[in-house]
Amino acid sequence: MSYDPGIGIAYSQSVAQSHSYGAQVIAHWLPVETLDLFATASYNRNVFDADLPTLPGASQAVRAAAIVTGGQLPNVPIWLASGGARWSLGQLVIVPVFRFVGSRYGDTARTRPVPGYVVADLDFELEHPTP
Amino acid sequence: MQSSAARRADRYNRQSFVDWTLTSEITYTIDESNRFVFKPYYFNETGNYFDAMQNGKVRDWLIDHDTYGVIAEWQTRVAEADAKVGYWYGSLGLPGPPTAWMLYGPTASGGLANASWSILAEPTSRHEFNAIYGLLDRSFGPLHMQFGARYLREALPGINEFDTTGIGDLSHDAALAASRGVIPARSVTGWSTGAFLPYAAASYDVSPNLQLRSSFGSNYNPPAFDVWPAFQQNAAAFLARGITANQLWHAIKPELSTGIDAGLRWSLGDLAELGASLSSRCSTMRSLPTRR
Repeated sequence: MSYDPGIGIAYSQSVAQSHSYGAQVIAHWLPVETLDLFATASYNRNVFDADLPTLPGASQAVRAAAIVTGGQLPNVPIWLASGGARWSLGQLVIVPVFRFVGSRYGDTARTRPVPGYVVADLDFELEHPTP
Repeated sequence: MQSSAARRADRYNRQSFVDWTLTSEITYTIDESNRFVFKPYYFNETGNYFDAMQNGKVRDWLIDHDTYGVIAEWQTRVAEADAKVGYWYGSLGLPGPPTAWMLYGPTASGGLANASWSILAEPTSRHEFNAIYGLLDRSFGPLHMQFGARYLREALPGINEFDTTGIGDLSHDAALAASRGVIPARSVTGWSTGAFLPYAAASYDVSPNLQLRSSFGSNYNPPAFDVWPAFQQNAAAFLARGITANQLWHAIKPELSTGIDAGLRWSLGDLAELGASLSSRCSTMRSLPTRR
């Protein structure tokens, strides 16, 4: 979302070049035959390569908001993680999973912080072999 | 699409959809190393969003669209490598971008009144993709390699925006029929863009428990359609500066990116596995021209 001083409104525009780099680790462990544990974590930097364009006559506030070089793209969390298990109890399988999404900004000017959150899912599965 | 008059007023910030899809995979085996695979698909969705707006209105976004296409692929062997050559055709009905936004004023009793149209549009062409691709896949002992390429063309839809003067709570089709006609300065024509997208990957089995891998590839993300509703909601501001919807529509660009990644996978029998990867990517999203 970027303010367009030529029109006087803010709307989503494709006005940037960016680059990203990151790393991810995945771990998977079966401590016993009936329990499968897994976890992932990733780090992702996705940043603007240049400031956003502004027009002559733009206000100081608009020009300041367009200085984004090196800043993380909006709505892209730097950290993501997940973890969970798959626990088999006969025909019953219990699958607790959590997913973590890190904090990020919702706008290019970095004035609208969006806090991170965790989603926890608990699934129950009944497995019935077909003849 | 049914008239909005029948919808209940207590459905702000809610959505209601009926989706259904048909998929199929048909394989015709010619011999041990040659076969054709066809994957036709169809998806249909009807429904609407009721959203409370910042201006105090309630927006009813009417959606009735479908998506269909087919992947046709020839899988064969070339110089001891697995090879595939394929074609993908995909066709998407609008939205997106939105074609039917109706606005209501909420009443004191919780009802909806004073219907008007914020966007009343009809596509003149569908949003389509055509792609041809090929992939070679071969192992040299512990070294496994893949080379591929794809050429993709995207046809963005053409859309006519209609005059909404005096049109109230009607179905989308009835509202189009009741309109005085198309507004050329707020309508857009379809256009196409394309990209060549190479891909290469390699993996190496250092030991039965340790694998190193790396890949390089280019990717294409379709352009965002946000300028369409942004223009329709602020048409006067754009037109006052001499910018038509078509100029803005033809200025949007897809996102092209090139990335590399490298990683490893280490396993301890069936008991444990650890994977790690590093990635890097450069993206290009070109700018929109705007004037004072």
